[in-house]
Amino acid sequence: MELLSKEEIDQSESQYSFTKLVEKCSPPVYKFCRSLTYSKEDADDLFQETFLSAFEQQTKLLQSDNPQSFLFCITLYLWKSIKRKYARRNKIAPFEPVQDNIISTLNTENDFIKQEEIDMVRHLVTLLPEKYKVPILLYYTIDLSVGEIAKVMKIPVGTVKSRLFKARKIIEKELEDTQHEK
Amino acid sequence: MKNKDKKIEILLKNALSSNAMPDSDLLQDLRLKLASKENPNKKPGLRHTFRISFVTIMLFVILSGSAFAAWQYLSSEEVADKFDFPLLAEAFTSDNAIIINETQQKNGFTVSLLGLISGNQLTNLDKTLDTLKTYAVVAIKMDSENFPALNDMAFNNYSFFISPLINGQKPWLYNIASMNGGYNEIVSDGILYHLIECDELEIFADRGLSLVVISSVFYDINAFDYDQTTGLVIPNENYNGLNLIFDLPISTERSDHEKAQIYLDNLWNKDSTPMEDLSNSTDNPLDFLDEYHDSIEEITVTRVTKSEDYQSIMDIKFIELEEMVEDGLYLQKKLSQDKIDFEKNLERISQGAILIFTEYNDGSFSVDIREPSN
Repeated sequence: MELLSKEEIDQSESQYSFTKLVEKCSPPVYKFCRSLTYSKEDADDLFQETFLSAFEQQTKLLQSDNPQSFLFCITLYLWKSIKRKYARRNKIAPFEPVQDNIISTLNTENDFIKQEEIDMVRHLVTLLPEKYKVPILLYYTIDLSVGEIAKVMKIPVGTVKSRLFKARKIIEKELEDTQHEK
Repeated sequence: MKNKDKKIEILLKNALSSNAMPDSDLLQDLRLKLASKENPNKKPGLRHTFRISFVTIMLFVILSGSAFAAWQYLSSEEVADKFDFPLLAEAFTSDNAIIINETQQKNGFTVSLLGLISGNQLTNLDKTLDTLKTYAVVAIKMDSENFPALNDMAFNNYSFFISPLINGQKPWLYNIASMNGGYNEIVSDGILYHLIECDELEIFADRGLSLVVISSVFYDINAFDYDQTTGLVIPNENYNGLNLIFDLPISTERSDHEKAQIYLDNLWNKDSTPMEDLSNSTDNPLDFLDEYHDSIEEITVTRVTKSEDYQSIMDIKFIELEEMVEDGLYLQKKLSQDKIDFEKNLERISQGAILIFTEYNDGSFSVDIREPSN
């Protein structure tokens, strides 16, 4: 028999379900927040705001057949407002994006080149128009399937595929142009 | 997969994969905030202190509020200046600006709707054009204390959702969140200012417009009752938070019922006809759009004028079709014909033809090509 914590036992059924949803969805939602904001502080804020907003809609959320997609939709809306503050703050005190998956030992020239290329790709992704950036992040960072991305963005599967394709092409071209300039 | 495609695929996976996880402090803080939402009476400043009919309150604050707002707060222009939006600040001084200065009070908060303006490219933070937006400035003051600074942790205890609503439209579906909206906020001399923006509201003026202020992060369905018969939103008197509603006195001169209806019908397709393109008189959105999504027919229609764009679309389509041939779902003969047609169409596009690529939700597609007019 599973031992429940006291906090969970004290909750009503719907609260308990929402708590479970938070536990289940917090890792992918956090990754999405982190990938959108590139700053731990803003990611933390966006993460909390997402779940606090979701709490106010918890009836609809818990009835949804894909609560995770619903959460991503909320994140996207809140991000639009936060990124304005974020852009203003960046003008005053520019930040360096936190690198979650930096190569641990940069000993060889190859490692430096790889990291440079990775940094460039990350930078190019931040410059993509939103309609390409969002599916790219959902696909590569959150590992959503094309079908799941279609639900989050409320567009057909084919459109998701063509946007992913176009985004890749844009990045590829920009990368080539940058390398030719060197 | 071609080597080049494989390389970019690997690069993207390496660059964008993340092992980020919310730390335990963040999760604990979230749990505490969720717990306090369950017990809103524990939150300071949100208790009912009196019960007077809503109409009486409205009359009292409207009659007495204007003078209070005028000297107490920053003007809409000054708020726009604080956010470094000079064009918007100037617009608020123009004849087109609507200076409202209406104040209401509830539960220890004094909320003032200061002003309203619609316009084109009045802010420049977005990389996309800010066309035909409506902006409003709202000031919120706490009666018992000042708002903490935005970067103060204590500020996280306060949340406000400020949104225009359209009479006759369900407020949980048609609000600032769905109408390409957002907000900026600032605290000045202990007063919180929200500058909100969303798609142009003037086209809806003939239907009736209002603005709600709720003490929540998102639209809270418990804050207001929606009367399906009248299409009006009424504050729920039992709501244990801030739920105020202001009329938006926008002239009906620029209302456009047909344009507004098209906008509402397409609103939940975030990527369909944007507002600025509806100002064109043509019936065919593809005359000015690259991509158009129809939610009713469940199709996406793409206007292609460059060979490389058509190549991009068909590269991926051919991969799908080859898989379908292997699964026995598509004829090899048909695929071969598609490839012959593709080459011909590429040639025609390079000579100036416009190709209309229609993709259906099941993945099937059709192609229509229009030759350039001489």
